[in-house]
Amino acid sequence: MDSDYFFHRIDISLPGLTTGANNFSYLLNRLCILLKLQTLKDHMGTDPCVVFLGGTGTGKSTIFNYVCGKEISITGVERPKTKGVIMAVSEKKCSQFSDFPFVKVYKNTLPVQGEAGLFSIVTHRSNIFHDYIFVDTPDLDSVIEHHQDLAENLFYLADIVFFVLSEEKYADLKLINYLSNFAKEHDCIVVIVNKSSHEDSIVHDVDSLLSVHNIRDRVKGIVVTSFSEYACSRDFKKVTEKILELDGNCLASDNRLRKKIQLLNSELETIIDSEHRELTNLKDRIVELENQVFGRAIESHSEEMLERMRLIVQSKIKEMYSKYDIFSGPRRFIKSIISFPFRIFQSDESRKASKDREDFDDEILSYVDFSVVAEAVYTFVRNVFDILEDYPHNSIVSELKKDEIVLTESEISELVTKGLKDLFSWLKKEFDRLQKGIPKLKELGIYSTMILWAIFILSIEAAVGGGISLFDAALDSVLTPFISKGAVELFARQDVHRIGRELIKRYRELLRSITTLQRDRFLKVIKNYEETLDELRRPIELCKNEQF
Amino acid sequence: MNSGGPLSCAKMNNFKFSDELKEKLSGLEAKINKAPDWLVPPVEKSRMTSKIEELKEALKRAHEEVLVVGFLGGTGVGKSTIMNALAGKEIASTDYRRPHTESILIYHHFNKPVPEELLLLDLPFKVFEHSVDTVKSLMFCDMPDFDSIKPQHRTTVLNFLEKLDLLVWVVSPEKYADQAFYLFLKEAMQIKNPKNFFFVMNKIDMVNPADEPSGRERTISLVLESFSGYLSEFGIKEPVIFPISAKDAFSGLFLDPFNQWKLFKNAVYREWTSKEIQAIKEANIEQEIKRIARDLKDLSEVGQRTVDSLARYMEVINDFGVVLSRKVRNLARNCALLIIDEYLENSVLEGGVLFGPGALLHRILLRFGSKRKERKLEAPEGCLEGFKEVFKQLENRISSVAYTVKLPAEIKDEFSRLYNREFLWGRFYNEAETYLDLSAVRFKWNHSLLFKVAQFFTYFGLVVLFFLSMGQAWTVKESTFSKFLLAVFLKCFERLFSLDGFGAMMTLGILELLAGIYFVLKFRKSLQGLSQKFIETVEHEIVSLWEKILQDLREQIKAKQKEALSWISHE
Ligand SMILES: Nc1nc2c(ncn2[C@@H]2O[C@H](COP(=O)(O)OP(=O)(O)O)[C@@H](O)[C@H]2O)c(=O)[nH]1
Ligand SMILES: Nc1nc2c(ncn2[C@@H]2O[C@H](COP(=O)(O)OP(=O)(O)O)[C@@H](O)[C@H]2O)c(=O)[nH]1
Ligand SMILES: [Mg+2]
Repeated sequence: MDSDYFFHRIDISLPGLTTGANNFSYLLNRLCILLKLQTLKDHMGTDPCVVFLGGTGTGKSTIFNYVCGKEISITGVERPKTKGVIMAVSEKKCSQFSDFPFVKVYKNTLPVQGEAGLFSIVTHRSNIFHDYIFVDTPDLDSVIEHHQDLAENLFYLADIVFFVLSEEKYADLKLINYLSNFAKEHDCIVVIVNKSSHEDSIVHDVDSLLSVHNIRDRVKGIVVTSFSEYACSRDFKKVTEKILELDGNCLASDNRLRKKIQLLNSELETIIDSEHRELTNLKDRIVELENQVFGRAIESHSEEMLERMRLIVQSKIKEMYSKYDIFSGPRRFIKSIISFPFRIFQSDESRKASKDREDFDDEILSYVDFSVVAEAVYTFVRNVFDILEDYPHNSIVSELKKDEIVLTESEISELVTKGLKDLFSWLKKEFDRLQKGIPKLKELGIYSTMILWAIFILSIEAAVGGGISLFDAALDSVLTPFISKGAVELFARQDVHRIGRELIKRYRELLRSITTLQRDRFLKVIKNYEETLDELRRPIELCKNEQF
Repeated sequence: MNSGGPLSCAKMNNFKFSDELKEKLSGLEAKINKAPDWLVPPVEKSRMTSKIEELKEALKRAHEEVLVVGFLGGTGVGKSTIMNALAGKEIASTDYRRPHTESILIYHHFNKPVPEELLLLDLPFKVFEHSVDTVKSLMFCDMPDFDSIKPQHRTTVLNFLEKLDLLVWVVSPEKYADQAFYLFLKEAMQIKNPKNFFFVMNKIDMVNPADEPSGRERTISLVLESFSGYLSEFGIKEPVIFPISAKDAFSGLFLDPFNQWKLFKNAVYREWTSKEIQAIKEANIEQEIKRIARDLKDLSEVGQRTVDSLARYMEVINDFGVVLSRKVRNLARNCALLIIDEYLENSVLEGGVLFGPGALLHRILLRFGSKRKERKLEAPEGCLEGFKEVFKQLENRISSVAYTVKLPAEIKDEFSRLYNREFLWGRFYNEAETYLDLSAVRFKWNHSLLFKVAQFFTYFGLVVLFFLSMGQAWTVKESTFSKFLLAVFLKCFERLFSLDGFGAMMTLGILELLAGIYFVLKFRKSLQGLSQKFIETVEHEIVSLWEKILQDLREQIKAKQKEALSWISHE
């Protein structure tokens, strides 16, 4: 099917969240074909158009040739013989088509068998039906499936349909299904049962068959013919009489085509709309889920955790107090005043303090329980996948379920560690600033740092456990046993509050950033599909762009 | 043809072939039976094995039975006419009106009754007998069509298909390219060997000589070429096609030179040797075996995919297990703290390990010292509820992977039972509960007696010393003991309220207080050490219990993987 104009298929993957989506490509391609037919139809003008449709080998081409008055379409024993659309027009019309995009005009090399994807145009020599356009089609029932696709669209060109059956094929399920579908849209159909000489009984059979399918009154006649040898001139007459009888009463093809195009278009639009709606819905649900899960994760950082942390911090502070005995401060203060002139480099103590702080970093990291985050992420993922079970299995679902979409444990732990490290370095900077502001308390730096760290840990826990209000409680509960109010004021209580609050905010953001990262990975997939959908918004234009 | 050589050779081959088939069947059966139930459900297994039994049975009887010949084709191609032409009389009704044949028409030798099992099928039958001895072993079946507006015809043919040995596919110049024909052919090829197919192009008298200027012969060969082209597209290479006109053959008129009716008749309507019959049946059995083998291969692929998916499960169990074990440790610590609390609450304070000034001090410290947070007093077992969350998370994590792997739902369900949160938690709960109960009993402060004695002697000793230090009081001299006591008492009383007395009292108080402080500190310190150790053991035990459960889960998964792998590799 190379360079097959008519079957140039646009391959589009819709998200597939609604069942209609499966049909989309088919309908869209059908719409494109019909649009091409529409341009042709516009060219054809109001001349009546007779289309021969039917099973392979029933004699469509044979009858077509008789009607055209010359051997235009090839007939033969190899099935299927006709391979493309063959259109017979009057001499006058013929030249109008010469520069049309998908037609090929034949003058001398008759008979033609047609080419896939092209309209073969030939002049006919009918005296009676001078203005008529006759169309011979490939079959509706052979193994060559794209013939069916083509033929069922050519139906829309027809003012009059000759549905050709044969004695052997008039009860074939496939053909009768086509006939009954056509008859639902078209009321100028003539059924020909060819290759038969048993007129009465065949008419009777076909008649009852049509009645069973409730299309008897849509069919304008049942003609039994035989185009072999002697009978052909008689039967040719039957066919021409039928055309003359219907002449002028059947001219609705243009409307039918337009209506079908509109119908397909609105069907496609409905599919896109409902896909869009489902997509937005899915997006909302994912966003909502992430909210819920994050909220729950924060809650699950329960008070017990807070308590546990408090214990750790308190014991840590006690440890520090016993290490740097409480009276050593003033003692060292005196010592340092005495030794001041000799002290060129940083004191032992402060170096020691900074070392301790580093250790403390690692320790905190080891306490930080990133399972909270991992759990939140995986609960979220599982819930999203749960939702996806509601949808039919389709492209978006399988894309959302790809392995690389879900954060792994090591990714999460890396993110948490990195986030915390950043948080620490920020915090260190803040502390350093704070300590610079209170130089006279330099010797108390160790304690102050200790306590600030304690606050830090508690604020994280408070942040996770219960938010800002708990932060104040936590702050007090840590500070009270160890330092008098005055001392706290020395540490610039205001600043501590500020840092603490900032810390809570940052910590929450850190946690949130991980669940939102997961969320955004989901949303990115959805976004891609949204963009595709947006491109599909106007099916007709889509076809036209494809066309020219 | 020499009687000896080729025939015995064929015999050998045949013999070998049926053995080979039997072996294949047993092989398949063994493989099916070995399949793990979770991969191939028992119902499916028994369906397959009973099919295999059937085939084995058929293989045994392959040479002795009749040969069932079926005519298959669209409506109106002339199947019934062919039947009549073969029989030489009108047994099947034919008509130009469509569709005509509704029931399966069986034409058999009167000595070879139609097998019961055929007639047991709930299908429309008509049976005719013949007495042509040369075709004694043949049973002809004229079938309804598969392409007409009566879909029940197609069902009838499909249901009967299995019983056919030789399939004569009939087409006409008009219908040989119909999609319906090839769709049906494809379905039949699933269970019938194309070696046993004959193709008949009927109605060649209808081929219009005017169509091909090069003559009738050329025309017919074009049709045949075109037909065999389609057939080979559908996987039937070098098909045997007989161009015939059944109508001419039946009417007994002069046979057109292109009409290969005689050839066709000789090919089908003749005496078949039992070896030939056997070969035909075996070829069909071979086809069915292929189908079963294909089904099994599909199942193997599912098995392989299962193994791969389970490897993914394993990965997340490992990774997420590590994440969760930290949580488990924290929860375990919580449990330990609860047990310690309970112990302190119940035994230490009420039971009185400390007494005297120590107890007083302890209480004061408890009340006014660091404000002990009021814990909701829950039973230590209550803390185990917290672990539910852990198992829920584990389940969540594995489920999120389970959603992404492509396996049949039943298999997924089977595995989801392994990591089901209720199930795992139940196991965990039982073991953890027993352990915690035991450990709660073990958590005792064992030195209480010695400690009490020490306290008693210290406190009491101080009082005795205090009295001994009263010095002069002891020097009173009285005649009777009672008088002596009274005098000492009065003397002490007097001294107590002297300046010295106050000093001594104060000293006693201070000393008692110091002793109290000493004991409280000692008590607290050793309690702390004890708690610390206790917490660590509980943590350790619970974490290893958790790890044991994970390990079990891993092992179960490994076992399934192994099971699947060994089944897949089983020949
Ligand atoms: N006997 C007989 N043959 C016919 C009749 N009409 C057509 N044919 C033959 O049927 C074959 C197929 O005809 P054709 O027109 O190519 O069928 P199409 O595939 O429907 O176009 C050709 O060989 C014709 O000669 C008829 O009325 N009677
Ligand atoms: N011209 C011609 N007609 C035939 C031939 N074989 C059968 N027919 C006709 O085809 C029609 C249908 O035949 P039938 O055997 O009932 O078809 P069935 O539905 O396949 O059993 C009848 O009218 C037959 O006379 C043949 O070889 N040549
Ligand atoms: Mg044709």
